[in-house]
Amino acid sequence: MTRVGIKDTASTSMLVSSMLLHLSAIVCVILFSGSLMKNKKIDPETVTHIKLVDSAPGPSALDQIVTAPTSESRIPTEEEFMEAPVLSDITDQKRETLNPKAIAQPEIIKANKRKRTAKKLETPEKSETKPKPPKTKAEAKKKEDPKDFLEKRLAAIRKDIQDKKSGADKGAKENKLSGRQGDVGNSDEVLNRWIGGLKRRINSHWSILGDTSNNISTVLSVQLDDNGILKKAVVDESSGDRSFDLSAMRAVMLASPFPPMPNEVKEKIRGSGGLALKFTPKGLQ
Amino acid sequence: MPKFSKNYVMNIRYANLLIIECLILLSLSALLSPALSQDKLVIELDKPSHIKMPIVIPDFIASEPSSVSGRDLASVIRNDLTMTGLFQVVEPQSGLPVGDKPDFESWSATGAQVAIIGRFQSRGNDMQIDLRCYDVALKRLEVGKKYTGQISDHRRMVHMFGDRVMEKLTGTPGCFTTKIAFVAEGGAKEIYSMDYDGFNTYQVTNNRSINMSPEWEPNGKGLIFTSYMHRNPDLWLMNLASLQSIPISARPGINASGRYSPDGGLIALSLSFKGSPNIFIINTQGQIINRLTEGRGNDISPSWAPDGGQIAYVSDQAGTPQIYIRPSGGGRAKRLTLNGNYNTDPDWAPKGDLIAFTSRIEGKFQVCTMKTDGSDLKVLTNQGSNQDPAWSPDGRMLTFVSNRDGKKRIYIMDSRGQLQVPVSRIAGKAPAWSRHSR
Repeated sequence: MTRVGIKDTASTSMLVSSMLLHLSAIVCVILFSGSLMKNKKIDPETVTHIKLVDSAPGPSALDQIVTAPTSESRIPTEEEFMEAPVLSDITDQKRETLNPKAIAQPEIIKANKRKRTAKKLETPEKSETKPKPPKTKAEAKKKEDPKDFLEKRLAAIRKDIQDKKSGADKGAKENKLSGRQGDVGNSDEVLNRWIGGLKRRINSHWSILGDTSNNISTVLSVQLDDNGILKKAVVDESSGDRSFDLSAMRAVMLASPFPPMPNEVKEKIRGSGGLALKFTPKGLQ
Repeated sequence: MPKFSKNYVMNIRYANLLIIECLILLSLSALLSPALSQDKLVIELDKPSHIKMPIVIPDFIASEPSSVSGRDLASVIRNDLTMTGLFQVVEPQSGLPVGDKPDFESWSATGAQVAIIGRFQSRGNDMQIDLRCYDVALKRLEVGKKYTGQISDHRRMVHMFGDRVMEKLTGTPGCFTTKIAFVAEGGAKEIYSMDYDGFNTYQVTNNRSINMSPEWEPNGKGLIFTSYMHRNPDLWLMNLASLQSIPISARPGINASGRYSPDGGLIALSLSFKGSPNIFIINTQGQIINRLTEGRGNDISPSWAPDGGQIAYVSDQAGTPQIYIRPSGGGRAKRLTLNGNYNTDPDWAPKGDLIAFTSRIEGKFQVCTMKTDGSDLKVLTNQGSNQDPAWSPDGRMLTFVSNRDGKKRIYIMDSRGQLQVPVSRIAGKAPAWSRHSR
């Protein structure tokens, strides 16, 4: 009896503390479940596909920006076009460009395979295969994906690369360098170089209206694939000035493809929970 | 002993459990920590390479032979958008593929971020113009409009589309369908009206007298101006539909430089029936509502703030003409111009942030802007003598008078003064920009 009594007292105190601990753990989990979910997604097995933009407000914000308002005050001699074909064609193309589903999925599979094999092999090879200029990869992609749109897009990318060699070529060169250095371990330098290349490309395509206030800023969430091709861009924080938000969106769309992402960059972005671009016109004047 | 030892064992078991739980919690917090402490990797961009949006506008396509050329039609909107100072029209103007479907790749190759494509057909006096504005970067139609009207209105139809494009791309409608009234220089000082770009000039008054200082009614249906028709500088209102004039204020002395309040209900003007010219506010029937300034100085050229709360005007009470502002309901005046001995013709910008005015600099008149506290002076002109600035209703352009090519003509420029072009076909002065499109 006494033994049981002693046992009971011992166990209740322990049980109480245990319950408290459990309770606090549950509270923790509930409070940070969102963050936990995010972290769970970053599974080492699927690291090559970097889902940078998964936050809920993104797509809706994009819809707000992308969808053209239909209300127009009409005056007698002016009519809206009712030509559905032109409009729907454009919207479809827009979707393909902005929505990762159409293009991204084949890339994901491909990227995963590549990453895994690279992991099993020696690291130097990985670093050599990664930083190849986007063109070669793009050609490989072309064979895999017969979509007309993709071909068109690739043609545009090639043209873009030829036209604006500076950004992409520099980026590619930098990546080759950074890839090697990355193995040595100077990941900050690699990251900074990649960011520098990305900034140059976006700035060179960024056009704002001359009378834009320089006290505003827009934050875009962007999602790139391993080759630096833009998969998705959404307005995370609007400046309140639609034309400025759109100028940022245009710059990002025109600047793609970006320099391919070295592993250091991928890991940094993954660890940070995504990549965001903050546009401010401060650098003017 | 056994009791004790059993208890001890139990305690150790629970302690172990606790340790395990602690470990679980620790690992949980370790999992949480990166998400809590780190946000997205943010890259800051602050150096846009263009402050003018590149836009391609190929010559419009005629579906059948027409008396109007596609090149002329395209040049209307090319000029409109260029004059705002916000767009850079890129080459080529012809030879681009303009099929039934948008060719974003070809248009993008020109460096353009926006493309405007026009098609038109005319039959007899009638004309139809289909206009589309595409966002080349985002690959979508921004504005699509079909205009039908008379061939003689072809410029107006394209201007109307230009206004829509501006609204879509900048958030503020354009002012390409607005007009500028001015006083002809030379023999008769009659009032004329023209499109903002100088086309379709016509004579408004025909009284063979001296007419001065026109101002548009806010609804665009009439003009007020000072005229010596009855040998005294009285304020008149002319209805542009009937071309009939009625006197609004015909007090002894001057009844000059009438300016409508933003809501159109009041007119600020300079009256001298009590001695030296002072600023008064009258209603549209001519009755005095308020006297704004007093004193022996000459107070002229009032200009309302866009919210109607203040009025800028010129006074020489300090010896030289300078610009002051004062609450429109009455109150203390504040002198804005402190530099130079001649600052006149204030015109308050539609956005409310700037005042344009004329300043004499090194013996010549120049058009300047300043903030409404008198700071941030910018001289916008430097060739010849330049005077009488007036803002466009969207605040993106200014009209003014310049004698840089020998005779006084009406010019327009963008708000930074980067592009300055003569628009009036005849010599003129005192330009007034209409608020509404007519």
